[in-house]
Amino acid sequence: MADGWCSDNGESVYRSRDAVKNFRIRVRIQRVTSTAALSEHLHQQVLSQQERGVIELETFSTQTASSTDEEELVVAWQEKFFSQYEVDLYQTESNCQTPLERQYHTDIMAMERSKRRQNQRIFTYTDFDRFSKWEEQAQSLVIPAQPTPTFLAERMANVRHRRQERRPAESNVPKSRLITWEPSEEFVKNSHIINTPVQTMYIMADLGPTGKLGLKENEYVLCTIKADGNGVISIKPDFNNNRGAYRLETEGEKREVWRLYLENASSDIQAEEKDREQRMYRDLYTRHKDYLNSLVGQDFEMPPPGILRLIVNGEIVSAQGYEYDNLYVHFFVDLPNNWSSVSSHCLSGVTQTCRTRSIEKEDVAFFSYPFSFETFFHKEDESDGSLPQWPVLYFKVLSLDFWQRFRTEGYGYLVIPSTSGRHRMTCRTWRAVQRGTVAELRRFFIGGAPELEDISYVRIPGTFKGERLSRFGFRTQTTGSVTFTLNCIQHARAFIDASTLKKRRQTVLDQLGGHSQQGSVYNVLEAFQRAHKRMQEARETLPRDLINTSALLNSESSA
Amino acid sequence: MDLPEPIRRRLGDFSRTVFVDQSRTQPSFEEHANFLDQNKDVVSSLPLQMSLYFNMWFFPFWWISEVVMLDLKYSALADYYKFILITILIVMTLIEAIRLYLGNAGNLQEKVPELAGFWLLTFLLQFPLILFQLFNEAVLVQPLERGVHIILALFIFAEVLFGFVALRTMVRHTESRFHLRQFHGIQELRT
Repeated sequence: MADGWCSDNGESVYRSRDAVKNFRIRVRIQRVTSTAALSEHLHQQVLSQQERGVIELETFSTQTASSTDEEELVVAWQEKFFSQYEVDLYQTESNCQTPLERQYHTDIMAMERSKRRQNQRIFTYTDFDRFSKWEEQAQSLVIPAQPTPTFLAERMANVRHRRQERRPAESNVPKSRLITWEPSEEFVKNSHIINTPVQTMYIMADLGPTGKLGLKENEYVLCTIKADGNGVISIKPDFNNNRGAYRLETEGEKREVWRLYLENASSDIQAEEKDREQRMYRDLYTRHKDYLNSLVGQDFEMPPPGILRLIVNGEIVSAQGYEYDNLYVHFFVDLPNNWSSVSSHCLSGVTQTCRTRSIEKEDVAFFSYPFSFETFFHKEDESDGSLPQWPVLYFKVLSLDFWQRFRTEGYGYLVIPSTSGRHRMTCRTWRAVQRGTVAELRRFFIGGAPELEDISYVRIPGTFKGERLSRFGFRTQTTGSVTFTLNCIQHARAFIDASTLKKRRQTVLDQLGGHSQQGSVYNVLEAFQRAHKRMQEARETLPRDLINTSALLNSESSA
Repeated sequence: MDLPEPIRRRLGDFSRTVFVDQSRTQPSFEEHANFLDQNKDVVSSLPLQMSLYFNMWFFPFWWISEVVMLDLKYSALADYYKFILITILIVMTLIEAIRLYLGNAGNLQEKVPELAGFWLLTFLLQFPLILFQLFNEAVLVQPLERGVHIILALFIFAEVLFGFVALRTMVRHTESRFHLRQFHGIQELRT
């Protein structure tokens, strides 16, 4: 009697690309009781004694066939089979409260009229039934021994499963008491993390005595099937697949034993439908790819020919070594000739007011102020031999205190580097000083100080026309320094031509003038060419002078 | 933190009444031309600011000296002078705090009402009180008190003088600026 049982009751997980609605499972239960054993025993006695009559054997066979000890049913996914308890419950219309239950009432009435009922003992609880929640707490009979649940299993059992197609009970997060410092067990169960949404289906059996079906306490879980939206199907216990049958043992006075068989009854897809499905998927993916391509576009953004695009993302990191506190920096970008900018961009700015702190005996004000601008260089006249000038960032550092006294702390400038990449620069500053003690007293007490009317005087004034700039008589005093970080991006169509055609490198550099180092090399080569020409000219004129000298000598000797 | 609006309005009216010459209805063209020539951006008064600065540092010493000496000579004073001196001390402390704040705010931020309030508090209240404490021998003026009173009196006198000059300069500057502002739009229209 004990041999032939399957002792492996673990859960099995499958992954399916097919829709879960094509799932089929064949369930078969078979009773193994003392009555059956007695019948077999008597049958053997009859066989051993051949002299008995045939009527007795026929009587025993009839009794065995009349009992409902075996049932087989093919169940689809979320297919509803009613138990005797549900039939008795939903026949009365007053017991139906939800629309689902009213539909059950209609189905049961139709089934009663048509007298076609496929199942007797085996029934199902679908995901929408109100009994499904209760069954999650029920223990399965298939477990032979009762193992002690581990800490992880106990914790995972308390994880609240999220139901599909149901509204969340409390979607809003409470604004007060965001953190519960001492959660209770009930709070942990109610507010625990949410798993992947799964649909659950239970295949149940009514294992009551024959003729006494319909009692709630005689219901037992045969199989639990769960499926989520990603195609993962978990079945507990697994299909039999040529192994022994599972053993079911009921509780109560009679210790009845049942045999359980689970078999996969899903049908495969046909070849034509498979080809059609693959073709549909291929078309869908192709259309999606075309849609993404149309969104992104094919063209890489490229400036017009002969134009260099300079993008600078910079940061005013800090200012250090100044006299007063509450510093801020006022800066703007000056574009030389042949440079232009997008009108919408802003080429000036002012930072926040920053208090200083002492780092290694020096007062440092950290601004961390980001700025960015975009400019274009277009050299129209080729005859101009000078290298192009690069944009200059002029800035002045000021301080502002509680009484609205603001003082000029320093002036400085920063030439945008001609190479791309990341650059970190520290610029020294100075401020204008007026002679006399009264000026310093005025600066201290009131805050006024001499200012530059044109800040480009820090380098070369914009209105300067001439060859020599004199600053005689202009008094300054050295002050602190400002640290910048610049990330420069240079973008030009000529860079592609330069990489493919190396012979045109000089032409490219002549057009752009972007790289000062290569420009200087080009200048050296040009100077060498000019010197070489002068040497050739000198060599050509030399024989004539020698010939003339020889002629003079000959004439003197003849005289 | 600003003065209440009615007080500001009355102090502004007071300034325009006192510090503007009523004999001439309008400033002459030459004065406006001088204003354009000067074109000073900051009209704060340096001597006034220096007086206020040092007065702010000196006031705590004055206060401590006054309290200590009052405590020492309290038993030797007549009963009515005890009450008078305590009242004067409390009133001068409050007026000094308000006055110093108004002076700094008015001078550094070029606010005429604040500066006018400062000047009125200095000239009408602090000046008589400090002279009373300095020259009234019945209150048993001690040598330390005489010393700190002389210094504070000099500060207050300097502030009255420089405050008057600063207030007059500021009022005229503001008047010229407002007068020339009406021509600002014309210049823009012309260009």
